[in-house]
Amino acid sequence: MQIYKTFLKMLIRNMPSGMLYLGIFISIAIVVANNNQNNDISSFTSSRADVAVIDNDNTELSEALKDYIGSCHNIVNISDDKEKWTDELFYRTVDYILVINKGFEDGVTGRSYADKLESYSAPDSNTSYIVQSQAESYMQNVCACLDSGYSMEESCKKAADIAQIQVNVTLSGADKNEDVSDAMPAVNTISYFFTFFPYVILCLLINTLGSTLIVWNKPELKARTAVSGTSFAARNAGIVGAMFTFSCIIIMIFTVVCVVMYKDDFFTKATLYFGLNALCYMLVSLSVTFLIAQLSKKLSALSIWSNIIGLSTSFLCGVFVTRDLLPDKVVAFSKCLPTYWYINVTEELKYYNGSLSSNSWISIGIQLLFAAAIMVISLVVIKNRQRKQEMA
Amino acid sequence: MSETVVKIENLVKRYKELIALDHFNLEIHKGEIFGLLGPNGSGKTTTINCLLSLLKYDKGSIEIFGQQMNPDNYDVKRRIGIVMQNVAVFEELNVYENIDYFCGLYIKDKTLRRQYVEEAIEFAGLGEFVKFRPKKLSGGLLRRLNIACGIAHKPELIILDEPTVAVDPQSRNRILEGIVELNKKGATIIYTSHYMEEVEQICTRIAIMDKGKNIALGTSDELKSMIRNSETIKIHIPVLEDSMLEEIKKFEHLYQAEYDDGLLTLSYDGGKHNLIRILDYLKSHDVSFGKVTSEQPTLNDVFLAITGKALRD
Repeated sequence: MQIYKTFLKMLIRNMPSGMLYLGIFISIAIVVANNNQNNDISSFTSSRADVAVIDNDNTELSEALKDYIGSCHNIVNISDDKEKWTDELFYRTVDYILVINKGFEDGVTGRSYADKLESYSAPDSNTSYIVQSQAESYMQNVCACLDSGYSMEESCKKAADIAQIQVNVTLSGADKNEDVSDAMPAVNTISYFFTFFPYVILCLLINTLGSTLIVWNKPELKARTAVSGTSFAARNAGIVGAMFTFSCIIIMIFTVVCVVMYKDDFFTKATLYFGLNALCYMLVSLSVTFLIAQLSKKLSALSIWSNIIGLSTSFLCGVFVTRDLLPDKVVAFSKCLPTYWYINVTEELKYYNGSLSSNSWISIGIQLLFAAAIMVISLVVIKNRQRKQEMA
Repeated sequence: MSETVVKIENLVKRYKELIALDHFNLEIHKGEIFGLLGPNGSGKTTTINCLLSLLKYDKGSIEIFGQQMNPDNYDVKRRIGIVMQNVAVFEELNVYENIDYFCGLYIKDKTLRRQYVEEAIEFAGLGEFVKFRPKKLSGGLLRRLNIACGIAHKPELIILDEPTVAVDPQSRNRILEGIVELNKKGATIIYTSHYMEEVEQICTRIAIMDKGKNIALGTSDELKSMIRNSETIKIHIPVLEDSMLEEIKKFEHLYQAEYDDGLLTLSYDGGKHNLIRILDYLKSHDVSFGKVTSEQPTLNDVFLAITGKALRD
C-alpha cells in the first residue's frame, strides 16, 4: 500500500508536465468540433453566381439559354459596352459574362455554334468554370434532342427538364432507419476527438508515468526498496495498481472532456467502440512508456522520446494526415506500428452502421498483441540489465 | 557469550576474474558497533550487498538472527535498517514524506508510523526541514535524511555503509553521536568506512578488510597490539652527536631510532614514561631541542604493518 500510495502521489505530481498535451488536445478538439458543426451535410446549399448574359441573337434558343442560366444564377444587367466589362469583372459586379452572338440558333441548327458563344470571367474565378460547364451541358442536351428529331421549342424545354433532374445520394454506412443529416455529423465529430487520441495519450504517459518510472528505477532507490520488508510481489502489485489507478484518472479526464464537448452524441454504441479502441491503445501506450523508462536513464530525454515516437507514429499512421494522402510505401510501413491499427478502427467508426466489422476486431486484437510484445521486450531489457549489474 | 546476530562463513564473490570476497568470515554479536574498515575496493560494500541479498554470491553462507539470509526472507529484512553509501531518497518527496515512505515499507500501523517518523526527524535534527525537498538540503542534512530513512522503523540491526562520505565535520560528529545513541538504545550496528578515526571512535570491534579478506579482527586496542609499535616519539634536535644516538638506542623498549635532517624518531614496543626518559636524557646532556610529539599507533599503522600499504593509498 505504501508503494502504491507513493507511486501514485509522484504520478499526480508529474501530471503538470503531461497536462500541456491534454490542453493542446482539448483545444484542437474544440476547434475541430466547432468547425464541423458549421460544416455538416444538412447545411449544404448551392451558391448562385452573378452572371451577365448579352443576347445579340434574340432567338427562341438564346432566350431559353438565358432563362436556364437565370434559373441557376442571378442575372445581372450590364451595358453592351465591351470596354466596361473588364471593370465589371475586376470589381466583381459580375462573376461571368456570356455573350450570345448573332446567328447562334442557326449555328446550333447546323451544329456549328462554338464561335457564336463568347464568355468572359474574372481571373482565377472558380465560378466561371461552373457556369461554363452548365451552359455547355445545356447546349449538349439541346443538340441531342434536335438530333432525336425534336423541334427547337421542344428541345429547349427538354434540355431545361433534364437539367432539373437531381440524383438522391445515400451515404454508405448511414443507418437506413435514420436521417443521414441527423446521424452522420454526430459520429463524425466525435471521431476527430478519438483520432488525435494516440498522440496525446502517448506523450501524456511518457511524460508523466515515464518520469515516475525512471525515478523508481534509480539503482539506489530500487535497491533500498528491495532490501525492505515489503515482498517483491507486493512491490510490483503496488506499482501496477498505481499505474492502473492513474490510467483510470486519465480515462476519466478524457471521458469528462468528451461528455462536455459531445454531450448530445456521447451516449451511442459507436462511442462505446471508440472507447474500447482507445482503451486498447492506452495499453499499448503503457507498455511503450514502460519500455522507454527502462531504456532511458535521464528525465530530460523523455520529452525527446515522446516527441519522436508521438509525432512520427502520428504522421506515419494517419493521425495528423489522412492516410489517403500518404504514399503507399509509408502506409505499408505504418502497418508495423500499433497506431495504424488504432486508426483502422476509428476510420470505420467514422461511418458506424450499427456493428463493428471483423477487420476492426482484428485491429483491436493486433493492438493488444503489440502491447504484450512491447511488454515482453521491456522484461527482457530488465532481465539483461540485472544480469549485467550482477556481473559488473 | 552474547547472541550472534550476523554470521558469515567462507563467503566468495567473483566479478568475472576479480575475486571481490575471498573466503570471508565474520561474526557480529548483539549490541556491538562493528566496524568494517578497509580501503576503497576492499570488499566492504560487496559484503553488505551480499548480506542484504542484493548480490548473489558464489560460495559460502550468511545467517542473520540465526536464519539463512535469502532475497525472500522478509522476516529478517524487517528487522534490518540500511543506510546506503549513495543517498537513496526521492527528489519528488519532501523530508517527511521520504521518511514516511521508507518507514511505511516496514510499519503498517499509521499511528505508530507517525510516531516513529517524528522520532526519526527529531533524532536526525531535521525538524526545521520537514517540508523541504532533498535538493534544497545541504550535503550534511541529506546524509542525515538518508540515515533517518534507514532507522525510522527502529530496526534491531542497522547497517551503515560509509554514511559520512562528503560530510562536513559538524554533521559527521552529529552522525557519529547518533549512531552511538542508537546502539545504546539496543541496536546492533555494522559500520563500514575507510575513515579509521571514525571507526576507532565509535566501534567496539573492528574487522580490517583488504582484497576481499578479513585480515585482522578485534577491538581497537587488540588490533594495535598486533603490531610491535606502541609509541612513536619525534623530537626536532638541530645537532645530535653520533655517540649520543648510540646511547639512546640502548634505551629499554626502544627498537628503532633514526636521526635524519634534524629530526629524531624513536619507535617503542612498550614501556611507560618513554617521553620523560628521553627528555631527561637530552636536558642532562645540554642538548637543545624544539618541537616534541608523541604518537600512539593508529589503525593505519596496523594496516600498514599487515599489508605494507597505507589505508588511504
